[in-house]
Amino acid sequence: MAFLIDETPEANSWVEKQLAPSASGHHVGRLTGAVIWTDSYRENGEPIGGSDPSLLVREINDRGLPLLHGHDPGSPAGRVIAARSFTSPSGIRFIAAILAYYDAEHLLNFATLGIDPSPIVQLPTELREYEDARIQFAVDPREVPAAWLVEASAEAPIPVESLSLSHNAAESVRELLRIGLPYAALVWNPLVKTIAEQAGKDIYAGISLWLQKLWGKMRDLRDPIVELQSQHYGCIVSFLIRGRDLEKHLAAHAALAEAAVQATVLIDRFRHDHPGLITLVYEFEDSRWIPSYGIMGDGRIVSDRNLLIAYEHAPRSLSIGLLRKNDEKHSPKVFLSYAFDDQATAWRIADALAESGIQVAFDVTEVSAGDPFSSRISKSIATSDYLLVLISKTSVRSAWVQWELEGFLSKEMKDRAITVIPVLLDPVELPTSLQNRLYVDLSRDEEHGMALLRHQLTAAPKIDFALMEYSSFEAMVATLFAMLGFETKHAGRLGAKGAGFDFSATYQAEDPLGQHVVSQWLVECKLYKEERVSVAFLQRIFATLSESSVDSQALIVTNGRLTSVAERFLEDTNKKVKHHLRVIDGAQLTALLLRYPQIIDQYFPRGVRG
Amino acid sequence: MNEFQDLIELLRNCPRGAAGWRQYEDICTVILTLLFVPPLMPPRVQPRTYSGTDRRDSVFANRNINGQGNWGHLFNELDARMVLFEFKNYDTEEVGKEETNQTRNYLTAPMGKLAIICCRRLPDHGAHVKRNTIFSEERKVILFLTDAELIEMLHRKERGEEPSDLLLDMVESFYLQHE
Repeated sequence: MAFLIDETPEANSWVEKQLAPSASGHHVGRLTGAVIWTDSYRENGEPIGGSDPSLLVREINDRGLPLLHGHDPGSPAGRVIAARSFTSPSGIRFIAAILAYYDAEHLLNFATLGIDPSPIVQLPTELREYEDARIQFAVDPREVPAAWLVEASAEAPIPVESLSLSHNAAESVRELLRIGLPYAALVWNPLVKTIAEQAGKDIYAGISLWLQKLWGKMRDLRDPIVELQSQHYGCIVSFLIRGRDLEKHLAAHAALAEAAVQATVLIDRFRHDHPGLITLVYEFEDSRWIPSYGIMGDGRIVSDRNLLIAYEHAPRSLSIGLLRKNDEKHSPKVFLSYAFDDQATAWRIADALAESGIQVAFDVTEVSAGDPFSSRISKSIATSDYLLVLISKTSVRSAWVQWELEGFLSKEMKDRAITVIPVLLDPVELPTSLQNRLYVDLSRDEEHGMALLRHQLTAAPKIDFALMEYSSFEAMVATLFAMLGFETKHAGRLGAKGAGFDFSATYQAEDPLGQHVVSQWLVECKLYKEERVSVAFLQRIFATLSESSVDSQALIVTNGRLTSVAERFLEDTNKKVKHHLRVIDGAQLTALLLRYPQIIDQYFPRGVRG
Repeated sequence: MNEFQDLIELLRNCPRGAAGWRQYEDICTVILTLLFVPPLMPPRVQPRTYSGTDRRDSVFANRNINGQGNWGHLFNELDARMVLFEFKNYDTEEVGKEETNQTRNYLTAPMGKLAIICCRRLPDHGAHVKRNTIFSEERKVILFLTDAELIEMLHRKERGEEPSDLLLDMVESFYLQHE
């Protein structure tokens, strides 16, 4: 349709003027002129354009419209930054527009702007503002069947205003459903106990329930993208939920409130430090919401990902720079496992943690062995998360807890280095699988126990060995041993036989018969990023020990995990030799460090990277 | 959704035997690519016929010629310019000495001396004896990877540790038992 511009002198001249370098004032990549609407019709009588032309021009000139790949709000290509209506000499009405395509040169990122894209936030327990609640539901009627829309809207708890989106539906392979909601409905969560007006409570809870039902209806569509959209201080915030996977949608929904609060923090930071953020788009990936990109009023795009930077004529199937980074900082989440009878306590703990800014991702109630729950938690939980297992008189008898802790899930949590913290609610004996773990006791003094738990959950993310130098690691381990009651001596003071060890540690105690016992350890530290505890290394240590006349036990402390082959080698060799070798791996080391906040503060002063 | 857990679930649910052989090859290739590319090059998936069955192997080129990291170490120690992965989705049978010998024959000079057989259960005693013989005769190393080892490497990767640590320990452990 570009011929319309060519054959219309007035349009041609307008486009040329707009394309002049100084005209747009937008900090974007290449500009090009295009016809974006005409009043012509297809052979089947369907209008090629679709939307109201005057509204379209107003919208574009007011704040611009996004230019998307395949109508996907998560794949920004550029912006339509100016538009004007014309009539061609042959009598066709059309809208010419200036399309500005993003390029790498104009890409900003959150890090260089000094903005943390995923700040740690606390879910609000009260909503002071009450917004006049209305749902806007916008779809392209050529994509989504009217009957589906009517059915979906009918169950909404408050009035639904239907709007039409206009896409080039012939090219669209997926359905876009844009749902406009009051921001408070996004932030609403089960922890909210106080709302400015009582009516709001029912409405927000109703919207949440309605959305949950809506996820179930996605199976009737081909490949839907749901865009939950709202505004905060003039910035449009979108949360994109893709596909038909109910389980994923429910997980996204459960995590929405936290992400919505994060978005407000982000927008407030921009308002303060870099005013002009007009759009913020979130994607749900790897079981969490992450800000995919933001758009500034001057047209620049802000993203920490290698976003799809588009070129006008790139073939549709060719994605340039499509690789998405997946290393965003992840705020740790806490998963709670409890027996049904302990539900009230579980919620009390969740509330108390929330007050410290620690979010309980979702609770886990008692289920039978083999329930698909294990698969759900496996997918949702990440390496940096925590699983709190509430141990009570009821739960120790529970088949679920037994199965969970002694079976598959327990092994998996260990393999994935997910921290499991037993929390004692009653004075009962810990299940065998948890007996070596650091636990929190709420059975005697709940207040003190909760303080300890909060401390552990906030201190643990600071333990990041990636930034640590070997000398600090060795010093930290020596400090830890001193705190544990060992008397330590640097290896330099050991004889030649002690070669291969960093320091010696002596522990003195009385045995149950009153006999004074001294145990001596030779300790070797291994910082994983420099050297790991491999089979070859273990073999060398065993060889050193067998040649040694020192009557000590040997210990290796590492922040890494041994491979299964190395673990087997260690176990088998220990059965055959005089000098036994023990390894404290990363998970055990972290658990020991958590007992001593002063060591964490001393050796991890910078806390979480980012 | 967690990419690692998705793959683990796919692997666990992959049918053993004739019904799932193609699926098994595909899942393993995706997992190995996630685990090892880079530093290895993307795999060349090649069909070949063996015993009348259509099979495919994945061959990953190893360009870590500077000796850095685990793959550099394997390059130097076993001339592992190419790392061959074979897939045996047997249901009731175990991988035996015949298959192990076939793999040895496939390790021609340009390939190097490291091959890895992915299988659903540990190969039989004959296969273990055979690979010792192969090592004694030609210094070629053949590793056996079951689902458990693939999952362990996915967990290592998820934790931010190097998945090929396991392969190196397997090679080292193989040398020790061979002694």
